[in-house]
Amino acid sequence: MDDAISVRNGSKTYRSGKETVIALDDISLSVKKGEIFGLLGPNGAGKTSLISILVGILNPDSGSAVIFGKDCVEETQAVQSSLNLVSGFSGAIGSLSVEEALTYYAMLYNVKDSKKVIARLLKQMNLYESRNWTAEDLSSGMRQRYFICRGLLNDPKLLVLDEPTVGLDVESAIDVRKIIRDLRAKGHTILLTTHNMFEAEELCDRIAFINHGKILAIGTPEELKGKIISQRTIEIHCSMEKCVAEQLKGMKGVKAQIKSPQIVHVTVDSYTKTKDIMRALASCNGEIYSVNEMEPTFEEIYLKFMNNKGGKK
Amino acid sequence: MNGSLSRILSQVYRGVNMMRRNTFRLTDVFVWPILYLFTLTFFVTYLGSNQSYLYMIILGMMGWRAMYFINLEMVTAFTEEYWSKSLGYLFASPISRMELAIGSAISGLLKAIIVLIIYLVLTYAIYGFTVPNWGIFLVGVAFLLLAGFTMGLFMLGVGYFMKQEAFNISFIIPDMLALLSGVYFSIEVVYPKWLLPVIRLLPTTQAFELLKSSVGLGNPDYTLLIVTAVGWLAVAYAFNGYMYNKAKKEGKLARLG
Repeated sequence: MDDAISVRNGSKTYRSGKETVIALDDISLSVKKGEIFGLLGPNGAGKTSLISILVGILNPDSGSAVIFGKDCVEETQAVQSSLNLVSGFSGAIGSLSVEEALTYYAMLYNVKDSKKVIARLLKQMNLYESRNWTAEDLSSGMRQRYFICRGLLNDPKLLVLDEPTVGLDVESAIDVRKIIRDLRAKGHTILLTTHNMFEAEELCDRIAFINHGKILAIGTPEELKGKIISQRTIEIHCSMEKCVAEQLKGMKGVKAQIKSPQIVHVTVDSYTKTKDIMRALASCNGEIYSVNEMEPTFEEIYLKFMNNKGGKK
Repeated sequence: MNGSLSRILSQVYRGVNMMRRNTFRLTDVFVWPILYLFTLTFFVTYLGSNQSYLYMIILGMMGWRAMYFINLEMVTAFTEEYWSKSLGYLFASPISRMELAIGSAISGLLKAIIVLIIYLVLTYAIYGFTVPNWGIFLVGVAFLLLAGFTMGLFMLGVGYFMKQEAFNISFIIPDMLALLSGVYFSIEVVYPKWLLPVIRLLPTTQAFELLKSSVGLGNPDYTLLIVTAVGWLAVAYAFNGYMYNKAKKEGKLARLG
């Protein structure tokens, strides 16, 4: 079995006063061993409920959640032993030093040779010199690295990362992303939630868009782009924009529009039209400065999904 | 080491190191209990009461502290994790609710032992107090420790839903029980007759009666002592489990932070 996580028909509702709030609505997904799987959606989409079920602190109303073959409700302790959690919103016990706190957490996971493991992780995360500081003394970047140390104490098969770079400066965020990539290289399965679309696209092997408790789509970043984009836009920067627009006019599946002097935007409905566009360009006399395909950002893809398929209830 | 034992000891490790590094928690063990002890014993000696009353006060203080530290440490461990936004992480770790309760209770027991030793040394030095009957004393203290654990289980059960409010209640309940159980006086003399059957069913009343009996001022009912201790413990265990599962089902546990 290659699935690290398998959720089948998971549903969860909460009572909020007299209202019933649907947090998860018949969700099914699977995460393969060794992949970075992104769970993206707005606040209140159901991400936290799903993670809470997976880490054994919330029971689903119906359906099942299984991690490495163990049921999250029936075999909670075994599931919890195989995973760990790093949250950008987590706190740290202020009075204990970094080393003491990690020793405490290592005892929770019954880590063998904990002293050595802690020293190795602290060195790996560049925190060894600060091991006697209390968590309150750490900068936000150091604190996040400390949380990653905590998350790796039991060498978890599954690491749940809940907005691991929130509030970090650019350098620290780059460091954390490098650590995440290294973890994948070492075979850890990673479930990542983030509001940073650049980060999601850069790190994740596969992504699920979730909103109003429903999975809107699952796929690789490229597949998700393909699902939402039916057309490509090519920007041509040239000295003969009128000629190019005229040549492309009337061509099936192609729309050309002069956006500004020397700039033509050509919208095509398939990749097979590239040759036709090049031919049109060649038939006009003038300078071609650049030809670029205008790719939508992953943020735009995300917004399109949220607005088209689940943004409005 | 066995996983369960390691998780239980994690709470002891945490409690001891938190005390070592936190002035407030150090004073809770090394300052306040001594101030309370002398406030009461000075008052009794000022009134010129006989030695039995003075000894009853000392034994009562010891028993009350034993109960107080177990309960308080269980709730404090929980609340400190909540304050530091680590409670969600703790419950996502493999520690079970009972491992958490037992571990923090052991941490409280260590503090209770420290305070009892301080009390024994100080009261011997100042009043020449020695424990009149070690057997009765140890049994009485053991039952009060158990009562503290019972209270802690109740408070943790409340905490799953009321979060830090459980911490506030945990300060009130031991004092209420101390008042009702007649730690420093005879319940037959002070309370109306109609209330006595209820008071006798509290998990602490018979244990304090036992301690007082060692200086000839108590009248313990051994059957009630055992029945109330075991009965309340069973109810607290079931209550804690019910509240934990309910919190897990209703999403309260996931929202603890």
